[in-house]
Amino acid sequence: MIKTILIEDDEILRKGLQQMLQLYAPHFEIIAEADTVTSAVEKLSTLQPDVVFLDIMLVGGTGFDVLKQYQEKNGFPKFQLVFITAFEEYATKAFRMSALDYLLKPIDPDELKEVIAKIEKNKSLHQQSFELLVDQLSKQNNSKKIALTTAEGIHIVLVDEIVYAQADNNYTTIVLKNKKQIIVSKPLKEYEDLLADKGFLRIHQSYLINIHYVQFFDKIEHTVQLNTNDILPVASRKKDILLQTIARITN
Amino acid sequence: MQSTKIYILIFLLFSIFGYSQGDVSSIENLKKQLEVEKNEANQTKIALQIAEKINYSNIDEVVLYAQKAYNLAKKNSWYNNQVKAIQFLGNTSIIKGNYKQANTFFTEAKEIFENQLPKEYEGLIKTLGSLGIIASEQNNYNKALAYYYQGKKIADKMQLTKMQINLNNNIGVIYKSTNRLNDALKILNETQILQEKTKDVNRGITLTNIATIYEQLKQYSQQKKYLDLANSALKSSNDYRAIGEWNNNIGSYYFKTNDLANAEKHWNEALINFSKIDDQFGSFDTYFYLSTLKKTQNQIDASLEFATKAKELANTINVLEHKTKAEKLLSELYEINKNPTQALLHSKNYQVLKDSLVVQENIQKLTETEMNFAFEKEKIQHQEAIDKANNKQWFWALGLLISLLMFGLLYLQKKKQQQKQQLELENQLLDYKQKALHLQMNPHFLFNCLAAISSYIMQNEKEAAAKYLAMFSKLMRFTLESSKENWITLDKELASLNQYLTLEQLRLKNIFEFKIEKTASVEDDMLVPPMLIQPLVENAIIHGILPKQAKGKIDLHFEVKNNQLQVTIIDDGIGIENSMKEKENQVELHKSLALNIIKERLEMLQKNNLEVSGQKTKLEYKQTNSGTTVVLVVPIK
Repeated sequence: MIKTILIEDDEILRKGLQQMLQLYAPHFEIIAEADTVTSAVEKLSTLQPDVVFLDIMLVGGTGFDVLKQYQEKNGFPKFQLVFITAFEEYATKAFRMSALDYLLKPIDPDELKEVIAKIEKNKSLHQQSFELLVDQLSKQNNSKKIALTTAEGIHIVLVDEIVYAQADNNYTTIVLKNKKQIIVSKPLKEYEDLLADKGFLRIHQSYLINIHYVQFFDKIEHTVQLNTNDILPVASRKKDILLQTIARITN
Repeated sequence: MQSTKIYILIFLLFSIFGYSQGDVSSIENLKKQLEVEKNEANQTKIALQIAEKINYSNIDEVVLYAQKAYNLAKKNSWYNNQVKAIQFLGNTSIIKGNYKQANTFFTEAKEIFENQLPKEYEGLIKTLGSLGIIASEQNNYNKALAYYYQGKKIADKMQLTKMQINLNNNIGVIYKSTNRLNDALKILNETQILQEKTKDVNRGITLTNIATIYEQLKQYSQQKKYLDLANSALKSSNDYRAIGEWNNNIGSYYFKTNDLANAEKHWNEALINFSKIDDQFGSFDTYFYLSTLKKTQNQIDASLEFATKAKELANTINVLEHKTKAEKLLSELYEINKNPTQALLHSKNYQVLKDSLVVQENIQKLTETEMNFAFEKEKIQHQEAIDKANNKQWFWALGLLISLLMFGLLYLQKKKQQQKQQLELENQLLDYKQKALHLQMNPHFLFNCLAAISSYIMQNEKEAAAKYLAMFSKLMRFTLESSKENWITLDKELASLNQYLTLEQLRLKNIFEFKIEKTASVEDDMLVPPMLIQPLVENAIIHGILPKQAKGKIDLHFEVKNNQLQVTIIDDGIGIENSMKEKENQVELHKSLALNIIKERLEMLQKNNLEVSGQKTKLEYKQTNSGTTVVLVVPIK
């Protein structure tokens, strides 16, 4: 049995999630529930669960307060963590940058099943992801790092060191400055969303590039050459926005 | 030969009235005064007065005194005088054809107006106009039009006729340059009529411009008619530039109608006028015409002499189009003169310049695409902002926006004469709109409601799910309806509050009770501004009762006082001060802007509805022994 704790301040929602877990993951045993920051920290510390479902908005604080206080008391959490959120755009972005699992309310059964499958594969929380989340939250989303989950583990890379990303069906190959390639099982769109405000531009259906690495734009061939000497195609409808973005960054 | 260049109106700092030769003595007096004056503020003022009195009849002197005023004003941060001086300096740079310098001056002025002198509309318009002129003279027509229309928007709103006239004229110039001749005629005719009504001194310029367009349309009788009208309008004018241009134009008319003697006479007249103000642009045209005239008369040496002068001027003002024209003429003349070396040299120069001109045109096209792109981007961003609002906070934001716009309209109708105040109000509306889009409170409630319904379904509580869903729908309907209005009846507002409180009660397992009371003075059909009370009640629940973790109570009390509605919201939660203190130690996820938005809405209501009666809106928070009391006072209709 997998020892599970639900932290959610709304009793109705807690009951609903309980039912859903019973239906889709009957081997998740709910050993405790909590509805406030204080009670949550106490139960996490004493009961040592395997999995925690953690709501963001709680009575007397947030889910992040729970983690902060828990860590001060017990050190780095050992349990797997799934955040639940109704509408915290900012927090959602932090989860995505850190490659942490989260569910949106009302919970979609399919998403819950996916999360359960993932938890069963990785038994513990990735410390690096967690640290990146703390970094993200403390820097008000200006953190310079991103977590990339691969089959082997999690890479934390500096956003500035990503040269470009290439789509390959539902996978994305991320190419770094040192020519290292990281293959991630997320669509390119995910990284387009996360990196749009960090100087990245989708120049083609299959390519997202870091504008800072552009060396030459070939107007005739419709290609860009990057500092790494890679030459990538530019969709003709993206030409203008590419020129604009380059102009903005170089000025 | 090419038709006469239509010309622009410079945005003079002061009106042209008041200057006459008789003022020379007062200029001398002022200069003497300046020499003995010790106080820097007075020095600045006098220097500007001198520059004003000289009024471009002696460019170098204007520069001298304007520069002095500029240095002093800048040193002491006297923004008003600094921009006045900049405008003199910028205009003289334009007249001299030094566009780069002029652009630097006016860009500085624009920044000062925008940041330090937001209410000096006329100054800002003049600056935008001047920037437009600079762009236009460099053939960057799109950029010029953008500046002009930016200025015109303000001028139309403020009904600044003089500014409207100048801008209209200059927009006409651009239409003409881009071959939209009918558009140009239309806007210039409007301008001319406006000028006639206001006895504007620049009417002669507009009439000359109209004549130029008729020349291009080959309607020479119309051209002559407008030139004659212009002549009478310019009779008492001291505007040498205008007179010079008029002479250029009429000369060109005589040339076309083969009256070469008259053509030469007027062109010589033009040169005299241009030299008085060192107008190299005007002089270039005249020399070019004279050279063409001499060429027709087969006096090649004289023609060469004029063409060389034109070329020198073209080099000084450094405009590609002019340089190209001059080189072409020179190469033709040397060919006739049987001087193959010179002919070849100038022909080569001409080819090089022509190629650069093509490149310049391409660059212009690129600029145009860029500008279109910037415009599209703005549109997209605007759309995105709206979409975002739609997705997240659509029901609150929409209500706020619409009621705001309605307020704006009402104000417009009532106070048309107070145009200036109106512009300020619109700026506020814009700010306020942006803040409204950041309202972060209600989406959370919305999704929690939906999650609750999902939970009931999972637990197989069909009846509870259906009931909850129905209630949620009712609240949504209320919200949607009232978001379209800026006033709703009190009974509707009360019903929606009741609905909201019942939903929260259900969701939070009856953690609180509530009571809504009203005194006999409160009538159901009174009109109140919608959705001001709900956010306050939501605060009471989330920040007051919930953290207490015990059963709580919320009382809403409505009464009419001094012909206004007073709403008192009393909760027995942890109290506002304690709540704030707790927040300090928590990880901050978002700032609740609800309170600020309510405060701003109240201020707007105050301005629009209560100014005359002297009544005041109010929002007061108080921590009591047993929780928080909020008092809200709003106007009723």
